[in-house]
Amino acid sequence: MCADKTFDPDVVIVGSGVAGALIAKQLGLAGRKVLMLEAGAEMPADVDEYMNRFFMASAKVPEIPYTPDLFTNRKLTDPKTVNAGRPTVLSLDKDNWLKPEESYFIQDSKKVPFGSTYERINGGTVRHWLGTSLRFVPNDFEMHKRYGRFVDWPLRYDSDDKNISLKAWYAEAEKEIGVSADVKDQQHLGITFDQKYPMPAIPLSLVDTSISDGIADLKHDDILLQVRSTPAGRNSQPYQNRRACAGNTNCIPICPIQAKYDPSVTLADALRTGNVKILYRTVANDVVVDVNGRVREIKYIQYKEDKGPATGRDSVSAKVYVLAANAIETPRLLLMSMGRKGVANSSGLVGKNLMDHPLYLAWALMPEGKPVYPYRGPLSTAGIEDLRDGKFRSERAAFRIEIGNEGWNFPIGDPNTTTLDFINGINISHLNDGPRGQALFGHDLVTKLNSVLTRQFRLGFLVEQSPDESNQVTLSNKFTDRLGLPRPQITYDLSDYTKKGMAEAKRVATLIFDRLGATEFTKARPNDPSQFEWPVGSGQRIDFYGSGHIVGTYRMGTDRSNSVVNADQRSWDHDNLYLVGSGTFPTVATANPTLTLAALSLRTAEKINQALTLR
Amino acid sequence: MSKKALLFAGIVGALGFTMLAGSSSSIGQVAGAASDSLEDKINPPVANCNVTPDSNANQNPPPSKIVPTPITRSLLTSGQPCAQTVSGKGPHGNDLLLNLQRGFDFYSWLTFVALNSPNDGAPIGESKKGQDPTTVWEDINNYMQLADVMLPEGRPPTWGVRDTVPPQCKDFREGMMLIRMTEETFNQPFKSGPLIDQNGNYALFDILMNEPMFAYIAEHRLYSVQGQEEFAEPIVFPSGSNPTKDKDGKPILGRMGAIMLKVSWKVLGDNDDPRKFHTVDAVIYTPPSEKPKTDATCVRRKLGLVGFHAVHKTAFAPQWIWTTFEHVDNVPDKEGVKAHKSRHYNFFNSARAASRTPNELPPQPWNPSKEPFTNDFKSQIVREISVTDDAPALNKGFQMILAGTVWANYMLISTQWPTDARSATDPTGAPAPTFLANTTLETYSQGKMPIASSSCMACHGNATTQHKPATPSDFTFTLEKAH
Amino acid sequence: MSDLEHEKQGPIAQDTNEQAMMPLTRRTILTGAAATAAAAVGSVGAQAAPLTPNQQTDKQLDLFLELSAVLTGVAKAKLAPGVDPIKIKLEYFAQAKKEHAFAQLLDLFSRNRNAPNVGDIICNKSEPNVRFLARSVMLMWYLGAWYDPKDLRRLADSQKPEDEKVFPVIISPKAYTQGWVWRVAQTHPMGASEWTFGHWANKPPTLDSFIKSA
Repeated sequence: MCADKTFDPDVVIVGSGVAGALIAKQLGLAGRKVLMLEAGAEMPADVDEYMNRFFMASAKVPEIPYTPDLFTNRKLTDPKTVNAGRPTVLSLDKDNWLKPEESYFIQDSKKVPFGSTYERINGGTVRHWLGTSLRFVPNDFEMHKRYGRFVDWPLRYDSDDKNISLKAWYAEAEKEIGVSADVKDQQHLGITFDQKYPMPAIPLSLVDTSISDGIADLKHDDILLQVRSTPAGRNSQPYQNRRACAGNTNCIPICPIQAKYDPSVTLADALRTGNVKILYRTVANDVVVDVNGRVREIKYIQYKEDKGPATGRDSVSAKVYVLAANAIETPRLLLMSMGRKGVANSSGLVGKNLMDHPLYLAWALMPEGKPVYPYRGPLSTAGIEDLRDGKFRSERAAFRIEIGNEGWNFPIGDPNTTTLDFINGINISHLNDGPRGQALFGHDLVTKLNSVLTRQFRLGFLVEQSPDESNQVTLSNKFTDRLGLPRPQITYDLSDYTKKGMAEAKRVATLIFDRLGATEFTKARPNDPSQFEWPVGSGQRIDFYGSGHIVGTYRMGTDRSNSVVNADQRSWDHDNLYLVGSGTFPTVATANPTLTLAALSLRTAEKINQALTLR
Repeated sequence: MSKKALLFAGIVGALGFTMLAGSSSSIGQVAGAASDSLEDKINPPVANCNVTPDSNANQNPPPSKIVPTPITRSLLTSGQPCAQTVSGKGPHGNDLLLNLQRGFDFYSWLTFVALNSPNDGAPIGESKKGQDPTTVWEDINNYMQLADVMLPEGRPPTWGVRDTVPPQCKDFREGMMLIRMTEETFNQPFKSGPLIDQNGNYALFDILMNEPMFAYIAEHRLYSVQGQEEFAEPIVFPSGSNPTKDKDGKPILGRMGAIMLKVSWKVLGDNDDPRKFHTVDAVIYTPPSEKPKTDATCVRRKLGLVGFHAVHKTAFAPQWIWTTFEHVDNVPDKEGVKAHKSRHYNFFNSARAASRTPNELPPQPWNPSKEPFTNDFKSQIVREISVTDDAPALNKGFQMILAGTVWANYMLISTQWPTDARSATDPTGAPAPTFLANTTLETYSQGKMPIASSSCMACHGNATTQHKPATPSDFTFTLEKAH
Repeated sequence: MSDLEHEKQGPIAQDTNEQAMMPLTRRTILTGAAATAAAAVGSVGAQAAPLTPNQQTDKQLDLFLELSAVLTGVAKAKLAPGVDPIKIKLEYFAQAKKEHAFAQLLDLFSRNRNAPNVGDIICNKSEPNVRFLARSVMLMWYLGAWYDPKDLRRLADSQKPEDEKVFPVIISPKAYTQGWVWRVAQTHPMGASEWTFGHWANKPPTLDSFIKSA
């Protein structure tokens, strides 16, 4: 499908995820012509096919509803056969993280697996986000000034200089997404508000209130731990013609009723302006810069079938170019451009400082007679945010605590695993203390399953990873996708700063479980690459997971020598090129990145619109 | 407490609707003299409830042979059912489900006939006002459009009184239809997309309610956001019930209960034979807009009815009973695609059957002010779930007695009803059939995918008020339209 | 639940009119199950005529449902209600029937159905083909997925079952949404909630209301 040569865009945006969609909508409303290039598949008329894939999957991983298909002939699809492939959770375990025929990423056997994945499809990765919409705390922007660590952002939570203040943009992002929260619950650690949230807070679950009641007055390092409602891009009222949450407990991977925001909402709004066009199955492969240092055009390859041949090559020019392809694919595109000479990289930092929120997962069982009734409500409705900031940040990573409503689904794939245990007389869950080989049935089975399942809960600790230039994404010299484009090669590890934070998270988990009288079942996997020993030499291992929060690989800063873009997310090297999304974050802090990247996107949209007016 | 009181209490208590935990307001609604008069005010007793059953199966003494009720012209004057009259016994032997489904489908036809009868009281086909006069539901004294109930600024509406006719609509006269354009007038629920006919015109959708439903809203001030925020009790719309007798044999009159309608219209144009549609002379008002800046407009159109939802709350069904009808020429089903090479449809082009993917969305942008739709786009719609069970036979029977009127051009798709209305564990009451869609109103969510595909009760079960925090709104999205 | 009790009886039918207007009650709905079963077995007093293929299948289905109720601990009237728009029993019956040991399993159940330890006989003491098929059937009702009995045996025999790779197959989207494990946990399947906004802040219905017949 050729580009419509009669559509002369002012702006070209690579990527139709949340950042690209928000910018496209704002520019479309302002009367600008926008062409979006999306590597993956088009927006469907309904979610039937997504839901079908979800229902039929035995491994219900975040990517499962979306294309390209994860499996081909009962095996993980070989990434070299796929035009617009992406990583999947199923290719990150000890058996396959180093196998290029199963893993899209080329990972480094001397380091640890990078555990986060993403989508290349209409709406991008935020199609399967949880919905958590926390603002950064003010000190997150000043790690260097406050704690002598890392760098300061060139922006602030709030400031007299409104040009560097993000506070108002947070409110705009919350309106666009539709965030539910009450200001009175969110004014911790210096966060202030000028207006209400668009919708009131989502009610807490019984898991939340049980934990809250059970840890009353609990302190850690003199900090009082409080269970707090989590602001979320999830309707607590009818909003944007979408229903309020009905508690399908399925935010990840897909909300069946779209009560949870996903960027297809914004894409539809963008298309409604009549000024936005989207080319799907269109993979940008070269950002072409002319001798003046301005981007002249973006070349792309189109395909029809996920594993079929390319169907065309073409290019598009515009006045302004925006790369919104996520913090792995945007550096990949930049690095492969201009015959792999690279673009926008005078700092040498493109692809470097790759960060995630390494997640520490802890799970426990409440005592008999104290059910908390999990597997109900949104996947998470509350957390403990009090440890996101403090003097300790000069020594070790901070973290936030996410309370899960989904029992032991994340840690052990329940309720399936436990059900299989009791029906088949085995004990993978460690809950079956009956004789090995003895199956339960009838009344005993019902009462046993009911007893254990209703008492399960888990905590997730999102730990702030330190920026480290040796954590990076580069281009593989050997492995490509079906289009012949080099696949991302990743080198990734955790620093001591980060590991100390995870170790602290482990301590706090046990502290909370003990206070609740719950029995902890957290157990590190035997000999797994996604774990580390701590303390060193102790033999004790801590598992970590990726949170899906890919950050840092084209950081913003104050100078072209120390960053890739400025505070407006504009490339230092090419003044008509903007790089958006969480790749611009100089530090990852502890809040899930979507709200902050959305605020930055809206701010950048305004900057682009102003720049276009001035031309 | 009266038997009826226990009936209401039984519904409320057993629903498991947790928002009702600890509340007794619905019981209060009927217990005691003062509350009886509130019920009488909102949902007054009515005479002449239509209790015609679909067969003789429940006669006493039991008949030697079960015979379906003959479908004769006398049914055209049998009146509006106040509730279903159904039985597990029927022409399908021991198959309770099929017998009950037949009963509900028969009740749906009686409802359709009653609602679409002329508003002057004459039987269908015999009105002195013409061949295709104003129907019962098009009369503002019987049913009010949503836009006249949920007024701007949350002003209180008055029964039977239309909101100010916009000055741009100079052509409007009583007896015509005034449609005020909102997102929902042309874009299906949750902005799932518009439906474009063979002339490139947008199908138009409207919602109406009967007086008991209106009265409940008015009484509890649910016509405004503020009123909803101040109403702390569970929303329980009044129920229809058939006449019965108390324990002493004294007759108790039936009550109609809440009925809400959703209708779809197409603009009559080239290749449309108006004699095959129920038609209405309409003005369509589009308010002014800011982004982009446009003035208000009002255009005159002749509209033909293509889709008709009727939803009735009865004492049996706290989840309501959902029935839907379509114009016979709307779309083919999958078999029809293969069979009918050159048949005319409202939303399908037989000549393009081989080349076009069915049920695709129109390309964006969607702007009903721009007709015909750009680039010659026309929707190509196919029915995903064929009309089954007894509906085809009932359709044949009723179309025969309606022959000679426009109403012979309409057919029942199905009726969704709760098989386990009192379930403590499933607030949707295990509906039968599990999925139901009207190809003109739920065009893009047809199918059998759990949760994702159209099921009246599963979707409407998610409806909430604008109370903070949100509360269930008793299976209607109308309350979220209040200002 | 006294209001429900009242509902079950319905207003007392006195004459033709009233019977015609008798509201639908749980009892009238559920009597269908007994009627169907009676028809399947053949009317009382009639000659013992051989069953037609349909009647044989109905009989087998009924036995399968009895067995499933005993093994799962969920009432038969919940697994297969008298008025059943979903009819998951047919999908599960078709799936289980494909197995060689199915007839053997039904036969073992039939011979022991009045034994107090019938569940143990089937799930723990029977020969492996039958034993693991029974467990597959239970997992099918609980999870909407088919676990091959051979895989279950491999897991049971393995020293490290957590290292074994097993590939259950979800039978259908409908089957996933009818999984009994969720109801036994007093909730709904992840991805398929019948509930309304805010329900998670309150306690769920009792376990008995999910698994016992009314």
